[in-house]
Parts: sequence; C-alpha cells; structure tokens
Amino acid sequence: MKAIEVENLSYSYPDGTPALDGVTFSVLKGESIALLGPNGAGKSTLLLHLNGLLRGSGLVRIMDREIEEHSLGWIRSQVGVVFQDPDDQLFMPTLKEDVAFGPRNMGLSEAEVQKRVRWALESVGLLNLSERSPHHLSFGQRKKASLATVLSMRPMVLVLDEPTSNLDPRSKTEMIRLIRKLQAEGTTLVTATHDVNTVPLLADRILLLNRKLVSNGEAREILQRRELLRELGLEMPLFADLFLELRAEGCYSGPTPFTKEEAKAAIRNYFKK
Amino acid sequence: MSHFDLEECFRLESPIHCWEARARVLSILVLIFSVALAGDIPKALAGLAVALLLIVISRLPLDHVARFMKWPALFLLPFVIILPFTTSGDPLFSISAIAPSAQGLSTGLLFFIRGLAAALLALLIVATAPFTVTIRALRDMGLPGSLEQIFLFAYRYIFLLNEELTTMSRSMDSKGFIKRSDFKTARILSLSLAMLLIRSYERAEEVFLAMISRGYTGTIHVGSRREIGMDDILKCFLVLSAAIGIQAL
Repeated sequence: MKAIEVENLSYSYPDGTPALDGVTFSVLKGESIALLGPNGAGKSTLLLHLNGLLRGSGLVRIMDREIEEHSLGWIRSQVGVVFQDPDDQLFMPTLKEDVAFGPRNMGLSEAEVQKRVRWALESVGLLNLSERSPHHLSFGQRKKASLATVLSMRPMVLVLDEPTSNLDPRSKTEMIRLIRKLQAEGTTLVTATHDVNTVPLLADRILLLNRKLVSNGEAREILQRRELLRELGLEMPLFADLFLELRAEGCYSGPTPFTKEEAKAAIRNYFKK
Repeated sequence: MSHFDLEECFRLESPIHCWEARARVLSILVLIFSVALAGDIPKALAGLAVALLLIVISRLPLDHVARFMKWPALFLLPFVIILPFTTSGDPLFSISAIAPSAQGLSTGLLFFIRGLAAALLALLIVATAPFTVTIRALRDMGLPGSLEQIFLFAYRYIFLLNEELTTMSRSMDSKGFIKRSDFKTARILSLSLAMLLIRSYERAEEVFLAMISRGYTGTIHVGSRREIGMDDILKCFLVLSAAIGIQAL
C-alpha cells in the first residue's frame, strides 16, 4: 500500500520564488526514504506539503486520502512533522505539556493522553525529564523531545527535517537507532537531510531534489553517483568515496562500503588476501 | 544557575504546593489586594509578616527568594529615598536647604513595605506550582483564552529571546563593538533590537506551523484538574482571614 503519493506538485513562495516544480513520487507503507538536495532545493517545502501546512498545485495523497480542507484534521493526526529547529517545535512551558499537545488536539481522553505521553517520552528516553521546561534541556534532548511531541500522536507517517543536524556523535547514533526502530514498528519515514553519511543508516531509498525530482532510487545506488551528487553540490559518503577511488586505482574490487562496519570488513578482507 | 530557577521550586513539598491551584491563586490574590490597600505602616507590616510566614510555610529556599526579591526591592527603594524630599510635612532634620519630611518618609516606607509584601505573595503564586497549572487556574477564573496563550508563550520564549540577545551581544563584542554613550551606540543597539524583533517574528511563524501540524485550531487543551477538598477550603479560610485581619487592624 502506498503511504504517500505526490503527483506533479509545484509551489512558489508568495514573492514568486519557485520552490517545487512538478514533483512526482510515492512512498510505500513502512518504507524509509531520504530527501537529499542542496540548500534551497525545496526539501523543507516538500515536507510541509505532506502535512497540508503548505498547499501547492498538484496532488498529495496520504494513505489514499487526498489532502483537502475537510481532511486536514485526519491528515495531521496521520502525518507527524518534526521541524529542524527544536525550539520551533517545543512551545509549551513543560515537556509533558508539549508531548500532550497533539493527542489533546485529537480529542483523546485524558487517560489515553497520559498513556501516550508516557510511551512517547519513554521511547526517546526522556521520561525522567517530563516536568522540565524545554529551555532547561540540552540541544540533543530538545531534538529527541521534538520527536516525542509527534510520536505521542502515533502517526502512520513521520516526516523529519534534518533530524541529526547539530547533534553530537552519541546523540546522532541514538537518533538513527530510534528512527530505524520506528520503521521496524511499521512507521513510514521521510527524512530530509544534508548528512550523506547518515543516509545509508537512515533510509532505503533516496529522492534527489533540486526543485525538480532529479533522481529517485535505491539509496546505495544513488550515493555512488559521484558526478550527479557533485552537480547538486553534494558529496558522496566518506567510506563510499574512499573505496570508489581505491577501485578506480585498481586497489579494491569488492562491494562499496557505506558504514564503518562495512569498511572495516572490506579492509579486513583486503588484508586477508 | 544564574536565574531564579522556578522549576526547582515546583518540586518542593509544602502545604502551599499541595493547595489546589484555583483556591491558592484566588486566596493569595485577595491577600495581595488587602496588602495593597493597607493604609498605614502597621497594617503594611502585618501584611509583610503574613507574606513572610507563607514563604516560610512554602519551604521556598530563602536564598532563591532573596535573589528574586532584590529586583522589586531595587524598584521600590527610590520611593523611600525620594518621597521624603518631595513631600511637604514636618522636617525630620534640616541641613541647609535639605529637610526631609516625616510624612514623606512614612509614605515612602508604606509603599516600600506594601510593594515587598505584594511581590513576596506574587512569588508564592508563581513558584509553588508549574506555570501551566497556575495559568489554567487563572483561565478557570475568567482569564481570556488569548491572554492565556500569550502568557504561556511568553514564559516559554522569554528565555529563548534572552539567549538570542546574549548571542547577538557576544557577536557584536567579538567584532569590537564597545558600548558608549553616543549616537552611534544607540543606533547599533536599536538596529540589533530591530533584528531581534524580526527573528522573533520569523520564530513565531515557525512555531505557528509546528502548532498547526499537531492539530491546533485556536484553543490550547489542558489536562483535567483536581477537585477542591476540605483542606483547600481550610487554607482559603486562613488566608482570607489574614486578609480581613490586616484591614481590621
């Protein structure tokens, strides 16, 4: 089943600047895709369309239901958006109130709201900080808290704008683990990111965007297309870049590694030979 | 921690902390009015004594209270210093043309004591329960929904604005900006404040989008509240008796 269908979506900002031009793609239920592109490519703009926050020309369907004025309430309970800056996402005086904000807007009973708040905070490991104000949390904690505010709505689709940006390595690893866990539980994920090194860990498929959809394919296949990525001002993941160069020099012939573990295995195999 | 940490205070346990929010806010507001209407120094001192007693009962750390109270005290101190010299009356002493009046000093002290007592009582309202609980109580007492949301966001974002202001100030310092008493400094500070307003506006737009994406349609829903019990009513009775007692002195 298709969780997201976008057909011929175009959008220009009020000052006339084009942001999206005829974008068409679909995402299957339970799939995790990465939205990759340079600054100003329209990644965040596209994400805002998936929740009906922006309405361009073209068609956006979530779980076979078109985004229209009367379906917005349902759409917003099904598509959770996690914004890039956690200070935009955390607007209530305490973390608990913030995580309860979405479920309460869904009209759930207070008992159910409290159950969901507990579950969401437990999922991101912040249950012990539920009474804290967002300004007393570290940046990494605020990022996780932003995710919890959306998780509590139990959305079918989770849309994440740069979820790992400005995080220290440990927080980044924890965030990636959490995103993968959500996917394993059946959530459909769309992640906009610049961080090509985390893409193989986060997503199975990549949409390469530069106002238009430039490419749509398997993550590891697209991340090896050096010229295409360079044209868009992007880089290849570090390990893939290194081993492709070694392959070009005739020093390496195995599969391209994308993670530290894969690179370690490739080096080990090389020395065994 | 450089600022008064209210959150640490919320977690304390005391008869004031476990007082139902509506009953607590209403009773203390009545007490504040009673203190504000105190017509002479003995009544004001009685109000201050009641306020101090409630502070002790609330178990708020006294160093926190002192740190908070320095600002109201600094604001109120000019009344004690200036009024004796601007109010006519019996001179306390006379040195050449300087003759502070007893009536002026009395009025200044009255303002000072009433102000301190009211600030202590206001502190009791905000420091003994999470902000959302207090705001909810105010809403139940008739505070308009739009004002409630303004207070909620002000509480959340005032710290963020302070951080942004600090960042901008550091950035200016790093570029060699030195604050002087001249037009150039005033112009640069005005421009940076204008930039802060623009940033705040942009932030407000983003926050609004985040709210809408989570189903906001104009009303902030809050959790259920607890019922008022006999012990809450007893506390109301005691505080309201004190308020009436101050006026009856």
